[in-house]
Amino acid sequence: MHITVKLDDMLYARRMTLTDLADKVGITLANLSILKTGKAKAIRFSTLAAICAALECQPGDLLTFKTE
Amino acid sequence: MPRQQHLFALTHWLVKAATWLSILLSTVLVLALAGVVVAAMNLDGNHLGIPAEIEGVARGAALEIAAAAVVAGLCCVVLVVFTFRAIEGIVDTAISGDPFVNENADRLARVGWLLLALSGVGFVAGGVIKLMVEHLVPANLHHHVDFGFGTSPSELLVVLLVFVLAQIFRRGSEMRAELEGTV
Repeated sequence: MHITVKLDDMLYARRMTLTDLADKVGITLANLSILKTGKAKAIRFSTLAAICAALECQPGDLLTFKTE
Repeated sequence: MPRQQHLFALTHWLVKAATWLSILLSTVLVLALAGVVVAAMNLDGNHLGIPAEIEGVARGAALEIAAAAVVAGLCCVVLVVFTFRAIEGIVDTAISGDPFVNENADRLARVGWLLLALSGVGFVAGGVIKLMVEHLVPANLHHHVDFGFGTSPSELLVVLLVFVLAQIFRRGSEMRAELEGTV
């Protein structure tokens, strides 16, 4: 039971690199990498809001809940 | 170097010095205990130059009280050395910039137990030595024999505080671990 972050898919859809997103959002590349690779234990609402604003999407477009 | 780091560095050296002084003191106490044992084994002979009465107290009684005091003192010093070692560990992590780790909660809890044991040794030794003095020393000399063993409510309050701090530290280190994975 876990949450996966579909950051890769969203970046591909927006033709954007992780570095571009890091510049736009103001979060370090290292932290975005943690998020992208699913190593993050939690995400702040402020981070989620900044990513959604940069990618012009909703939180639901970025996060998926899986039962196993 | 920030002010906090100066404080940690000073504490580190003070604790280190106190540890070495305590180890030195324990060596002196071991030698004192050996001296008391040797003297007790030669109670009948006077070749060691110990008078039959020390300050009005019979030689045998004085040696028994001294042995009890030295053993209790040695126990206290050993406990103090372990306490200083634990404090040094905590200060070292503070100097390295990462004090909120589970190990420090364990160290604080250990300090709590050691202080409780120290208080216990003081209480037992104080009681035993008082009983010995009452039985072995003439009543008019009781006030002369005082090694300062005992315990006080404030010591127990400190022990309680250290245990509470250990739990707070444990929770803090858990929160820190959680925060580390937060983006």
